[in-house]
Amino acid sequence: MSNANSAPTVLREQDGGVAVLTISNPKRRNAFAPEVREAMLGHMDDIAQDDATRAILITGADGTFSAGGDLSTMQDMSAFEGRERIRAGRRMVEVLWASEKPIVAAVDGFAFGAGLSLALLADWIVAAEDAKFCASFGKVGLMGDMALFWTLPQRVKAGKAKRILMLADVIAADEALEIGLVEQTAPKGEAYAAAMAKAQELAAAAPLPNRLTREALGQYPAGLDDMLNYEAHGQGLLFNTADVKEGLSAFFEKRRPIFRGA
Amino acid sequence: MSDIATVDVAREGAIAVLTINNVKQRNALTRQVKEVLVPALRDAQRDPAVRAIVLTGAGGVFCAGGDVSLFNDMTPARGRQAVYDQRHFLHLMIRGETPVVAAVEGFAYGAGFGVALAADHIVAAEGSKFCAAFNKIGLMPDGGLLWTLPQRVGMGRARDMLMCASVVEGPEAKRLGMVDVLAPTGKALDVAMEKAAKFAAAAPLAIAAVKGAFARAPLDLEAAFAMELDAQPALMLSEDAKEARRAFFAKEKPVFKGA
Repeated sequence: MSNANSAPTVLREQDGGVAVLTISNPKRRNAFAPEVREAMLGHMDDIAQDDATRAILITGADGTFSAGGDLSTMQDMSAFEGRERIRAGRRMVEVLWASEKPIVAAVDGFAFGAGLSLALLADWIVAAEDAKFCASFGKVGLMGDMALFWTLPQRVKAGKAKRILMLADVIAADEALEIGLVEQTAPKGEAYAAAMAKAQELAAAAPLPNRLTREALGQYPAGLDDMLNYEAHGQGLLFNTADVKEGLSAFFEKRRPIFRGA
Repeated sequence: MSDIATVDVAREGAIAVLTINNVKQRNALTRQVKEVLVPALRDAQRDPAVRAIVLTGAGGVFCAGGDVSLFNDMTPARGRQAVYDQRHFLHLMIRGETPVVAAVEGFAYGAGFGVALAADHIVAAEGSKFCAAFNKIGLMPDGGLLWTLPQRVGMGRARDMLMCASVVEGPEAKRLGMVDVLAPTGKALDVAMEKAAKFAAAAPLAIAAVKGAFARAPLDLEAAFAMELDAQPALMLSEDAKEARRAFFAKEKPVFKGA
């Protein structure tokens, strides 16, 4: 998908219950410029209000996910301007992390720097075989941000996380799958289709329990009894929803349930 | 194998073997089963002669989940209480001092998946199948899976298994680190008994301290040091530590007594 006027933005499309958000910043390999961030926040706000959307797919235009922060906008930035930038990034992280709808990322080409951070906020990441992941911050004298120190160790073990964050090693799709950085790989050009299939699966799943599951897992790390309390409170609320009645009927009638989120 | 839903309890040396035996309902955790399982696990945990516990299911199935027939007409309050009550069992598994090895053949679905993942060591048959089936009937995962599963498979896979109810079979479970040992179909219990013998031969007080540390996960650095500081000096003075030092210099195998 190309963005005719080439201004940095995020495009939204809809495929059934799945909202597709495509990062488009063609001059800078979909760099995560402030305009991109603001467009993303605007779409997330709309999606949160839209009951028909049950899952979100995030991808990048023109065969690459996102090359990271926009270095051109970081020249001559004061420490306090940098601080504001990080706070704005935090808003982005919080909105995606607290989303009541699950997120799938389709990664082709580069997911570098903030692009990697963004991908890691997804519940499920599909990497095309040409995808490359890199916490490239160190190469420009910076440390990882947009919650990378929190999200990355949730997916990969400590040794790998240190290597990725300290050496800025480029991780290819196969290795990314092997170390748990991504959940699925796809042939070149097919990450979108694979991610859409997973997003549709999530969109068809019962939304209320997944909302609670996502919220509980979002509180990581948490102790055993905190999680057991969460289960008890959440399950208690779910037990007499219409969706559980539907789920039980479907189970006994051996058919597929249709969940309405009620 | 009888038609009556129960849990069979057997002893083999220092190993207690608990077998969920409710084959008609694919070893579902009915009230009847739980009424036997929880005290049996408590007794095994309290018996100083028991050094390892093996938990398995009869008839080639581990446990197909909760008792779905109870889910109809559940009020929020009763539902909450029912899930809350699972913690007696989960605390015995996770906070109990004696290590638990799960031997999984066939299905470990829903609550049965939670039971397997609460074990310290999991042996899965090649033909085993794991699924957090809760979402399929509009429920969220329980049985401690929100805590146990991400520890074993990382957050990405855990989210998929918990939100899409994806089925994971034995070999993939091993690859993901969700289970520890893959056994040929029909041999999970045999392999689990071998593993349990190793746990049973280890120094019980040290095992209990390690199990207690893992039960408190996630530990930050200060908390991890505090645990070491609390437990290690007592362990250093234990009879078993003395025995280990004697055996080390005598080039013998130590015999631990849990004292």
